[in-house]
Amino acid sequence: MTLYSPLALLFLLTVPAVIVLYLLKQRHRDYTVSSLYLWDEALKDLEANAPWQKLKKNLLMVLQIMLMVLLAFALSRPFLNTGANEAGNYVIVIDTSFNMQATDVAPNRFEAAKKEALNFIKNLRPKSLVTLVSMGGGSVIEENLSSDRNKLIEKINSLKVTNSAVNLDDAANLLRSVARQYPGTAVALFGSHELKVPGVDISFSNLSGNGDNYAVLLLSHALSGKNLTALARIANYGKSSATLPVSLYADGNVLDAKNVSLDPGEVSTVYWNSIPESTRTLECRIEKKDSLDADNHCWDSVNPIKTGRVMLATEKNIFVEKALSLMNNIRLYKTTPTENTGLKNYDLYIFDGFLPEKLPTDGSLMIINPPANNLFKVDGEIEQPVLKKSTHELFKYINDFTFTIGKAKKMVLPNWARTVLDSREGPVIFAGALENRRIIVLGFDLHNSDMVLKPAFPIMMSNVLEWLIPSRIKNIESVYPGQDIDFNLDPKAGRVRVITPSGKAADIAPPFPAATYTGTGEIGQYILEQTTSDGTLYHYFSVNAPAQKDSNLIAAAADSPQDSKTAAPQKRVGTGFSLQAILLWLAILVLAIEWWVYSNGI
Amino acid sequence: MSELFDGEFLKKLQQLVIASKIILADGSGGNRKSRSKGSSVEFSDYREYAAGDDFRRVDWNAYGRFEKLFIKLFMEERESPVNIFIDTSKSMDWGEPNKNTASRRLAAALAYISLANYDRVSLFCLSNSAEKVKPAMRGKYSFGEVLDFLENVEYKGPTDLYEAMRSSGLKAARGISILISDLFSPGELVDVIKYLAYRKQDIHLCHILAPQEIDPEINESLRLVDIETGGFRDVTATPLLIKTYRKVFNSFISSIEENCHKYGVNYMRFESSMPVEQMIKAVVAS
Repeated sequence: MTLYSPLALLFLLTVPAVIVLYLLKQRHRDYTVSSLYLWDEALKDLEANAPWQKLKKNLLMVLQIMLMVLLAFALSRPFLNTGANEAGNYVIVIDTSFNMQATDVAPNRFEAAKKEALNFIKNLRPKSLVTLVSMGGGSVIEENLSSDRNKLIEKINSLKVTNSAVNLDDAANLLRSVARQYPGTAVALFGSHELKVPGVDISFSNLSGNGDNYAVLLLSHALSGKNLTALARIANYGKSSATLPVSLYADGNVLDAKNVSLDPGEVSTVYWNSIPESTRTLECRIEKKDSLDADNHCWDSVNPIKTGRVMLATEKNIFVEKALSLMNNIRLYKTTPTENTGLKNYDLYIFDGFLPEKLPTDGSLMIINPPANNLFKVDGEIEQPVLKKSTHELFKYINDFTFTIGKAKKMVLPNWARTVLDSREGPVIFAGALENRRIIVLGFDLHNSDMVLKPAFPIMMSNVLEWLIPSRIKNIESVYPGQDIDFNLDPKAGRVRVITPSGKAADIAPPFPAATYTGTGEIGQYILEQTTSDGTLYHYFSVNAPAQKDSNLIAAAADSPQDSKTAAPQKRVGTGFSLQAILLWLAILVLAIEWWVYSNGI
Repeated sequence: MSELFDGEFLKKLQQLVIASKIILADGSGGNRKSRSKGSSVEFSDYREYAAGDDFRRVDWNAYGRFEKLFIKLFMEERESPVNIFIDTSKSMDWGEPNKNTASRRLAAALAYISLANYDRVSLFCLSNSAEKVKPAMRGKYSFGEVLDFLENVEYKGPTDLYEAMRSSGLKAARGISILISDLFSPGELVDVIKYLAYRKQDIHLCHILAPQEIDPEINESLRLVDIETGGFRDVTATPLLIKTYRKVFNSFISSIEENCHKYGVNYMRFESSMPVEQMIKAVVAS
């Protein structure tokens, strides 16, 4: 046991004071009575009825001494070190992930976790340093090495549960680095996802209630003929079979309802046909209460696919033409360097080996093997540049893309662009946005490279088109909560904003390039609104609950990151125990007894 | 005229008559009914005629009806010795109002009424012995002596009623004995009663207590000092102590009442705050 304010024991000096007061008080005043006969009888009777009479005579004094002793010890802030860690450093991790919204623990898992965390903090040694971490889609240090209880309590109370699926690897990395920095740190995790990290002492307060849950895992659509077909995947994560009423809403109106019977753990696919092509939003809803409501909805956005107009100005580049012809939803126009005057109204201009004197004012640009120009500086040529590996998004979906370049233009990277493919001698491919116009520059003639002969070339071209033509915003039609989005905006857009499901609008541009949109915490249907000179463009996208990852309330607790196999066995973190509150309650009890004894004259 | 016995007090006395269950057997002629059948005018009983009876008393009407000779018996009125014992131990000189005033006024009133009834009144002051005795006063004119005697009573010493009674020289003749005491003398009462009964007394016990003895008003730590012995007890006046005192007091009274009932003693309890006429009325009504 440790006393954190031992000086308060000086308060014990009041004990002799109480005794002295009693001694003074015991001086009796003389009072003459006619006879002691009856008094003697009464006193005898009292003593006969209470063997502890002698003690009782001074019961009030004993109680008052007890009260003083209890108060003195309470003021000295005693703390019982039952297994409290010696370092005194704690990390409190509160799970803020999606399934903490489940109500299988009253009032819900998240509130229960907060309550437990608050209790944990209250019982910590007064000088313990606490780091508070919220563990959701990412792990965030909310408060670092703080001994200010009130601040920590305030911080915990202000935490909000998120819609993101838990990212245990992120949390494990964070805890590992904390443990490295502060050896002996004990981690208390309050949530529904167990986390095991080798070398880190983690106590897990499992707030899982193993409640029944049904979820819409997926809703997607396809255009078949003139109508849309929708597909939903419905899961029963309950412990018993259930027949679930599942409805489909189109633009907010009920389109159809079906009953889906599912065994425990079963996932079933439901189809709807003949959905009008004009539908912009689809919502699938399980109309049955369960422990987690948020995943009973799933949205899907239907955006009309705009056919992109691509102008290819080239002398003889069959490779590009071939690659483009493989792609749907674009209309390819061709011209030659000599016939390229007055080009406009295309979504993308590809100039191969030359640039017109006057560049078109609209659409994106792809410049292959650029001559000297006003956009960036071309400074001679380089022979067989040594290429570096690229991780740029234009190379996504490509596992092995090794190629060589015989001769490339030596280009100076302009400040509006980022390198896509670098070489020892300078950038070979770069991309960027100049005044809301996206530009990709390939600094070499495709005929001087074996790149076009690789199977990955059409994929790269597809990535290039996806990036350059904003109508192809395929990647944002389904987004997980908390996911950041870089929108591919229309080059003509003057003002861009996002309207959330709750109707809040957030401007993301100007200035251009548009800021990364980070407000996807809410589940539901979002609208990307782009105001252009030709009118306003609306693009719908959905943010759905991470049902596939996080909706199985029964299994969630068993999740653990990859290195769990080698993790140390679980144990509870001892916090020790503050005795102050108990002593104060005892003091109040003694006070009440004293009052009772005094008023009943025992 | 003293403060103790003022004119108002004396006037009241004349209205009161004492009644006694005892019918005296012998003594000089007085105003009290005797068990002896005699020559008074008050009819008492019949009995059959026996040889030697005064045939002037034969009831001839009865003879006419039953053809048997019956003698008419008449009550003989005699004077009664009234012995008034006053406890003059120091404990009786206590209380607010003081018990000594109440006891002496009661004694005076009883003496007066008895004298007015042609009874023979003796006064005894008892503490641990018979301190003072004023024997056999007759007639209202002796009342001055009574007052004189009572005014000069000294309250002192501890109580030993039985010893005091024995040393009082009480004659073994039928009479009325009135004991005025606070009875704070443990265990003696039965002996006293037995002694008086042995002396053929019709016993009246006037138990005088101060209001503070019935309901003590103490509320602090006190050293209780016995006025008689000087002995003391330190007590803290808790409600439980007061409660226990009341319990003890009630059992004290019940034990006295029980003994009195057992030995046919006429028991009356008075508070020193009661007016004397109220006490007398209680005695007369008993």
